Amino acid sequence: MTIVPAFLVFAQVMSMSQNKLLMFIGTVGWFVTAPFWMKK
Amino acid sequence: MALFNRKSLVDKLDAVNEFEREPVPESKLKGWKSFFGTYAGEHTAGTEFVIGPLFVAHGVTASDLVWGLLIGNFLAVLCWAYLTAKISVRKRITLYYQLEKIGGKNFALGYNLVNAGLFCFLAGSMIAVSATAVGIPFDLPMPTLNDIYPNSVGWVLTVLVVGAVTTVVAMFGFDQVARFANLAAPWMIMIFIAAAVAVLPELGVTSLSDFWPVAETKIWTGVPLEGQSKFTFWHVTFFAWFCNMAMHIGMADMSLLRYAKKWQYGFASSAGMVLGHYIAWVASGILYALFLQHAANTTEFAPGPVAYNAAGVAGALCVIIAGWTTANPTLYRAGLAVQAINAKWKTWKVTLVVGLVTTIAALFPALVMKLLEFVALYGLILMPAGAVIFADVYLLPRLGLQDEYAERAGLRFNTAAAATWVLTLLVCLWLNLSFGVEIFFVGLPGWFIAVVLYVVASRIIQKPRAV
Repeated sequence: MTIVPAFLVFAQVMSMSQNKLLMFIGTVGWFVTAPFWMKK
Repeated sequence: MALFNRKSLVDKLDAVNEFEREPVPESKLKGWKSFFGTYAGEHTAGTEFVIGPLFVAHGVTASDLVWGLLIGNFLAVLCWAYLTAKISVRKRITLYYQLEKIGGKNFALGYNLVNAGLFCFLAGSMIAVSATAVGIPFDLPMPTLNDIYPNSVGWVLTVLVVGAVTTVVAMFGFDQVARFANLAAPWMIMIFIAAAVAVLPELGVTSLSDFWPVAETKIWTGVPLEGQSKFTFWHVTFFAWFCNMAMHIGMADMSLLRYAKKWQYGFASSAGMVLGHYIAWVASGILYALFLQHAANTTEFAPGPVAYNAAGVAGALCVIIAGWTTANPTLYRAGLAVQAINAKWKTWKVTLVVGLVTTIAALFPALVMKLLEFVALYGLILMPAGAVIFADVYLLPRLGLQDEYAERAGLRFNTAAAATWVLTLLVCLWLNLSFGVEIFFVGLPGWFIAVVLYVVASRIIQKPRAV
C-alpha cells in the first residue's frame, strides 16, 4: 500500500490524492504490523 | 516512571561496552546479512532528505549526478572493504581502543571530545529537518537556502520542542528508538521511492523514455539556484566518496566491522550506498525539483513541506521519523563520548547537557543549508585518525618502527599521533585558503599527508626497541 499506488499514479490509473491516502494507510499498517513479522 | 528505569539504563550501558577493551571472540562474529541490513538502515536517514535537494540547488547536471554518484559510491565501498574491513578483522577491537593503543588515553579522549562536538552539530541539523515537518500544521515560515539565523519565533519554538523531545528520549529510551529505527528503515526507503515515482507525471514523465530529457531540463538542470555555488561531476564524485570519510578511511566503522567473519563483508556497505546514497538522493532531488516547480523557484528549503507536497502525511511523517531516528542515536553517542572524560558522570545528565547544546545549534538553519560542507568537514577532521591507524598497522612494522607505540612505551599521549592530526588539518586549511582547494577535495591529499607525517613523526619520537 505504500509503494504500489505510486506506480499506479505513474501509469495514470490512480489520482495523486488517492495515492497519498493509501500511502498514509500503508504507513499505519507498516508500523502496526512490522514489530510482529520483522526480525529484531 | 517506566522509562526512567535504573536497571535498564545499566543494562544499556553494559551492552554498549560489549568487548570495548578486548577483541571480539570467534563465537560473537556475525554473518553478512546483518551487515547488509545495518548499512542499508544507517545510510537511509534524515540527511538524505537534505543532500539530494542540495545537489539540485547547487546546479548539478543529470549526467554529472548519475556518473558522479556511481563512481563516488563505488570508491567509498572499496575503502570500506579494502581499508576499514581488512584492519577491522585483523584487530577486532573498537576504533577508540585502537587509538588508545597507538596514541594513548589522552589522545583517544581528545578524539572522543572532537567527535562528540561534531555529533552535536549533526544531530542538530536533523532536529532542524524534523522541525520543518512538525511546523507544517502551524503554517510555520520555513527557512530559506541563504538563512543563517532563525527566521521566526515559531521556528525557535518548534526546534525547542523537537530538541527537547529528542533529548529526553535519548536520555531514557535509546533502546526503543534503536528498535523503532530498525522498523522504520525499510519503510523510509519505500516512501522515498514511492514519492519520487508518483510525482514524475507532474514533472512531465509519463513513460521511461521521458525520464532522461526531463531529468536534464527540469530536475538537474545544471543551473544553481540564486546564491548557490556551481557543483560539477567532481563535486558529486568526491562528496559521495568522502561524505562518510570518518566511517571508512577514518576507521570509525572498525567498531562495526570487527564483528565480520571475513573482510569481504565490507562490501556490504554497498547496500547503504545503493539505497541511501543513490536511490534516496536521486528521489529526494526529484521531490525538490517538483517543489521548485510549484513554488516558482523559491529559495525556501525545507524537507518537511517538500515531502508533504509529494507524499502527503506519509511524506511529512517520513521526514519527522528520518530526522528523529538519525538525531537520537547521534545525540546518545555524543553523550557517551563526553562521558569518557569522567566515567562517574551520569549518562543521562551528560546527554541532557549535550542535548541542550545540540538544540541551540539546531536553531540556526545554516546547519541544514550548509550540510554538504559540514559533512565534508566532519569527515576531514576525523580522517587523520584513520590514516594514523593505517600507517600503524601496515607501514610502521615494515619500516622497523614500533606499532601501537603508546601501549608499548606506556605513554598516555603519543606526540607523533597528535602532531599528525593537527599538522594534517593545518596543511588542509592551507590548501583551502592559499590554493582555493574546496573542502570536498582536500580529504584525498590530506589522507596521504597524514600517513607520511605519522611515519616521519614516529621515526623522530620513537626510542629504539629494547632488545
